[in-house]
Amino acid sequence: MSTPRRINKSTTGIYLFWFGSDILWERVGSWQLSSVKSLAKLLVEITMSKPAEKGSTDKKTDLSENKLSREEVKAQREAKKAAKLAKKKGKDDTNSGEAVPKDNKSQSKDANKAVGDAKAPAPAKSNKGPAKEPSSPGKADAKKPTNANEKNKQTNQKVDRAPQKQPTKPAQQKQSAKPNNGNETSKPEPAKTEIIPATPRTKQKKYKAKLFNHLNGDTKAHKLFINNTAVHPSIIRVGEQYLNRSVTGSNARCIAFLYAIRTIIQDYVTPPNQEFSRGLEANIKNYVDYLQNFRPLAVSIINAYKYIKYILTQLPTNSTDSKLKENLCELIDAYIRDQIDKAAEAISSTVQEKICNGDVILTFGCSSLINHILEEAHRRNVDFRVIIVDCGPFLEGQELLRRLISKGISCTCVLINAIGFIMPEVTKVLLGAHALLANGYVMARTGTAQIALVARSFNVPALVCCETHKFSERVQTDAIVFNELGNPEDIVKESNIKEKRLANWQSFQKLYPLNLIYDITPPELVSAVVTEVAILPCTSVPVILRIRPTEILY
Amino acid sequence: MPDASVKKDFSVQQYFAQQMEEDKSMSSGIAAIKTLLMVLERTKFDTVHILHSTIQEAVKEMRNTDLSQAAIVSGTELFMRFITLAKFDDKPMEECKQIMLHRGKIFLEKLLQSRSTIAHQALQFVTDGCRILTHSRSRVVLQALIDAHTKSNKQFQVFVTHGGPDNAGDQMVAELEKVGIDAILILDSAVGYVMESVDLVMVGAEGVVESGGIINRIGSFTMALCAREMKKPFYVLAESFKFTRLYPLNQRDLPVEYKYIKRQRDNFKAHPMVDYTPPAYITLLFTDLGILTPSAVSDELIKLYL
Repeated sequence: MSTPRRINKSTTGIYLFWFGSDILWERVGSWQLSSVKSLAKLLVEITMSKPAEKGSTDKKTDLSENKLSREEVKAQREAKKAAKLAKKKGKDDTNSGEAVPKDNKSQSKDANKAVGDAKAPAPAKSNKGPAKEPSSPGKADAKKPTNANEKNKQTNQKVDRAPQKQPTKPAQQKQSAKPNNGNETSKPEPAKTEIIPATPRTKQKKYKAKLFNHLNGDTKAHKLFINNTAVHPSIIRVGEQYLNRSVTGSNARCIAFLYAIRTIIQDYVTPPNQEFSRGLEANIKNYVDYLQNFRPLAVSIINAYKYIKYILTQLPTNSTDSKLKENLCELIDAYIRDQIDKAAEAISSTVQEKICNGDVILTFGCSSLINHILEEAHRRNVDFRVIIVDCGPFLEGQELLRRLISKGISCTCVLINAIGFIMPEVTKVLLGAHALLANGYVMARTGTAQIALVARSFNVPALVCCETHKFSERVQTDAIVFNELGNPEDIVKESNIKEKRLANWQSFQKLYPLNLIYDITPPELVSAVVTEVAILPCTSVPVILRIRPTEILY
Repeated sequence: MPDASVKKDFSVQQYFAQQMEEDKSMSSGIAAIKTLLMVLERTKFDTVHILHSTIQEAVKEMRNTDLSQAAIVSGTELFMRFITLAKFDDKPMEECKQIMLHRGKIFLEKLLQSRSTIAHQALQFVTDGCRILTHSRSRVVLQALIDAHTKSNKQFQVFVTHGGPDNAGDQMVAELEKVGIDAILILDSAVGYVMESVDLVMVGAEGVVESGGIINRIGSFTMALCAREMKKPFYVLAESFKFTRLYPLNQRDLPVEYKYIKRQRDNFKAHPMVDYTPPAYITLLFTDLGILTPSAVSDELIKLYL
């Protein structure tokens, strides 16, 4: 039993890592069946805070519904059934491997296969739950079925990992042999899988598997897609621009996307026996899906896409194609003009009231909007100076620095490590944003949360500037659930400028360079959000979403 | 020249001062709205544009007085928003004027009731035997306390700060004692000392800003800080006409005309008359729109103005 115990511990450990508490990890490190109750509770909390977790979704509902008595009984029964089935199937190992991932029965069976020498544990553990159940199936020990669930889940976790690596192994070994384009290498498993023997391997990929596995970085071999004749060249060009980061920033990406869509509309020929708008919508949908292979869509693009879908549904049916095309292009131009250009003007003029003589303004990264605001303030002859905080791996601040200096604004540039040193002299912090979420959280370039936190601790007001076309109806409280993974190569490259210590980082078993693109700033750290509508506290985002005009309210 | 005709009829400033003098319990915001109604009634105008400029002129004159700026600004803005800027389609100007006057009077009546609405809401938060700290003199707080004492026979103790520089706290204590409420006058500097022994803090506000924070007589922020540190609830009582479209980031960011009285605006050694209490320090706001959290204030303002 020692082996299963250990494995279970490690899976629990992952959850607790998520939970962010070392102490809890210590405590659970020595967990016994008696302490399962508290653990189950804990897992309920954890699973609730972790909606994107694969495979455990069905479990989650079981666990969270425990409070309702009817649901509870149901859950118990389900758990019993599941455990029995697991027991049965555990015996006949011979069945095929990768089943439907959500089905926990087949998964616990998979676990047996996959984990090799730790074969016994999964069914053995899940047996325990049902064994206890019959004795007291009432309301009082709702935790016991939960135990069973939870254990099943633990085995699920194991399974989640196991089938993933085994099938991918042969394919990726080939790829890792040639250190080709960076996008392939962002999956570090191949190198590991080659070297590490079976059991340590189960422990190995925890980080990636548990916390960031659901995020797809730019892992797809875009080369495969590039010569796709079914896709409009303008989309391919935009995708390529996203990929090599020649077009970055929410606004720029949105504009590039809209221009591409405009070209598509102009080039579109309605197939015979098809309606103009229907065919076009289907086409655009394909293109957008394809575009996602290059980089996950920005919130601004998602909103723009929703707008396009909306205007396509509003088209009159009795018009000629050329007229409709003209109409659509005008609407797209209007979107760019109103939602991006004019919004920037409005925000800039609002922020001008807040920039006065003697101000020291700190900004982070490179935001086109912030650039616009600062240039405008300079044009007004306000006596202020700017501190640009920069950070790797892209050093985007350099671009802003270049633009501001060319305008003659006095600038200081520091790296993010010096933020604590520079903050005392700052009077205002201006931040750009990737998106504003419905719960008031700000999604922005990684590092923004840190800047806001330091600003708050130095009591410097932090203003986030964000157009309303970047407002999202999504709710998110951490940067893990939804994010974008950049190329890990970028991080490693930067750290070995002088020494080639990490040159062959793929061979390091326990190294996974994590290049998160965005982070989440809680509303408490943001003094105000400046939008084209008004200056608002972060908490008023839902109101803005509610009052948006219908054509923008998707 | 419409502007000239206004001045011939009556002086805005004089009427405004007179209103404030007549009824001591009237907020400057209400007085400003009354004055604007009078302007509307007395002047003749032919176009909406002239009406607008006349009213602007009157507002400007009122802002030139030494009274609390925040309430005047928000009150008049609200008035313009709902009375004079409202759309009238193809009606003769004289008819429009009558409609406006009618509307204005309803508006004013509603505003005059708001104070008792607030007092009613605050009632459940005042319990028997509780000790309340309040800052200087606030008409809303005064009415809320008197209502709690006389209408629902609650026994409680009130600590009132002196409220420099004009020591309005003295008057507040006198008014409270008149109805039989146990009131104790304390020094402004004794807020920290008293805080541990009180159960809740209740203050009024000159203006409620978009962030959900308040602008109030100097010393309110200190009180809020102390209350936060001692974990005491900090309640604000304010009528909804005090909601202002302003978003101060910190004390420095407050407009100068709010902070200093007119003759001191150029004197950089002058003492500010108001301070800004950020929303993070406020537990709840009692308004005639309901009991709001600070974040709800911004939602209400968006509803009003957008």
